[in-house]
Amino acid sequence: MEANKLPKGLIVDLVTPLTDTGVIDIEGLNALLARVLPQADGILLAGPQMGEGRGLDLQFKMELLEKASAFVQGKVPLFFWISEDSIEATKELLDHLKGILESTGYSGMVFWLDSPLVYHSNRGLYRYYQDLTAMTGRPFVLYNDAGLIKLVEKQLKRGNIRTNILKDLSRIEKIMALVFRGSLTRVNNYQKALNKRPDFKIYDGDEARFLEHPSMSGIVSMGANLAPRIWSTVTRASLGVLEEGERKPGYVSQIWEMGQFLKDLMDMYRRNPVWTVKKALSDLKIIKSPACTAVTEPFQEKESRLAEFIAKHHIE
Amino acid sequence: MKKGLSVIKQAREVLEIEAQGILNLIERIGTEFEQAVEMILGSKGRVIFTGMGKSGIVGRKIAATLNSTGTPSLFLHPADAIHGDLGMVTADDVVIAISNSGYTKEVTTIIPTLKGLGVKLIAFTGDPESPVARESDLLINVGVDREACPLGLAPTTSTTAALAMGDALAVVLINRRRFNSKDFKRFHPGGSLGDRLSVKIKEVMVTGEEIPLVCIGQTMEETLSEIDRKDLGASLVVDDGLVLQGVVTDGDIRRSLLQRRDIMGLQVEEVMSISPKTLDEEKTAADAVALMEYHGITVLPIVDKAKRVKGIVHLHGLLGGKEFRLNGS
Repeated sequence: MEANKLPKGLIVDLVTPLTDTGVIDIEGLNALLARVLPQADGILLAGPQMGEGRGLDLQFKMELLEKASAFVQGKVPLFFWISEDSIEATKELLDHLKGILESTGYSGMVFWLDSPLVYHSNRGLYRYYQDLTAMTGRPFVLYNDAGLIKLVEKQLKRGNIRTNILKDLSRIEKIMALVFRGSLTRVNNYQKALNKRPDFKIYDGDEARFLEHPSMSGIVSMGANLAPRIWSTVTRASLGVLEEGERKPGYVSQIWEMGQFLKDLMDMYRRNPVWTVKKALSDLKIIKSPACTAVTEPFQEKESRLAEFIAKHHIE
Repeated sequence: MKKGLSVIKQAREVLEIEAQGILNLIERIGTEFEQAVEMILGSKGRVIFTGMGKSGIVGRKIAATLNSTGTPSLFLHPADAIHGDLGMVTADDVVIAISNSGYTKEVTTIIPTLKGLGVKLIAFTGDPESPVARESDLLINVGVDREACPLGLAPTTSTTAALAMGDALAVVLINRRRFNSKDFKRFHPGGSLGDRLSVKIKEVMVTGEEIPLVCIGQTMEETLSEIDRKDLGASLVVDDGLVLQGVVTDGDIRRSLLQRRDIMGLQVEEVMSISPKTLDEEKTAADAVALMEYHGITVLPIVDKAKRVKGIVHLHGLLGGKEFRLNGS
């Protein structure tokens, strides 16, 4: 595997399996990884959406990286969300995670995924990243999601990385990609600003956007926890890299149907993705418990039928 | 109503994505593009495009553009290539392989044979690390960030980008070859616009009795009658020696009518525009069109060095709105 080569395709925004007592469900983690790994081009751990990264403490995150990397063994790149509530806490986490990789001698690819606006303003970001990227030899991927910033209690002025700031940040070689959730106009502006870095990838962080107008770098997918094979097929079709054998007559209508199916699936977990997906995975006996880091709301009827829906359609 | 709005929004999004796809190519044009141009100019053979599906269609179009602008070009279907059509390829040719993914099997299959023949290979692909890119002598990155079509079922932005890059190549080659209107006519023998515009004005201008003409001192009533009779929307105004003094157009008459109602009794020099734009009969029709378009006029007096009237041309006549006749034919 080439050093620091960003994957193109499906990155699974992995849920973090918990036991009812709040520790890592290691069996569940391994079972889930075993399910998604053959289809994934990358795995996102402790992500701010499905990975519940904002609710996991430092020790938990260290253990998560250790266990997951032991299972993955460098087969696909890992992305780990490192953003904490402050610069200091983020650097501390990064330092500890780096220590885990060093102590285990992990040789697979790991990209640090960071949402800087969670704990830092746009001002001074370039200097901050010069400092942060010097801390580790591993590359960084930015995560831009104004919706996430809204959840942060601090009254921050901006939810999005400013375009000219992103342009500056792209001068730092170790920052290699961006996961983006937001408007089409903004991502177009970002792409324009990144023109001098043709190797810089922009992954869609929004499944609906990807199914409508797919990014040629790929997708960070929540639904791939449930339907990794279908997500993989649709992603490869969207990127035009389906294998010869998969392009049988009528494959276009099959891909279309798969896309519609994924939209139906999204409708079932859209309201509350973490809880709904965990409940379905638990019902399917892949993870032990639907336990989440935050208090769960009662399920709506269609959400509680997600596992049944998946079993009925023999989804892998 | 909502449905209608959604349709418009979707359509706008598609155009926005495709436009962005082309704009992003601008920064990518660099030394490899220059090298590709030099490679084609230095080649003794033809430029052969190859590609499957929509990329193949794009290849056909670029080949057609190159053919009509002076660069011999053809399209080679990859599937036909492995069934004998590779025989049309010679070592002197340059092959341009179009594949957005860079993994198209039919294309990668023929590359070793093409390389074996000694042809130069240029890749038009979106993935610089793909097999097609790696095997090529030059890579033109036509990658796009996003397809406009749901699920990427049909290549949209990527084919638009490849097509635009092909146009960029064709235009640069035209300029490098100093392609002129004579060449354009040579490659468009079917009487197209190029044919029309490459001829000299003297071959197409209205001459003799057909020129709308009045002399200084004649009335506007007589002038209107002349304009009406000759049907060019204007009349030239000359002195006794046929030297051009001015032009009266429909527009001049309209403006005079707005200023005072009764213009029939006026003399033509009270209404005419003085110092009209003119051209020499040895210039081409293309020169005349350019001059008329630049100044926003539709008729152009053709005069000699002493400003004596030799003829007149009308924009529509040159562009095809009216019958286009070569004098003497």
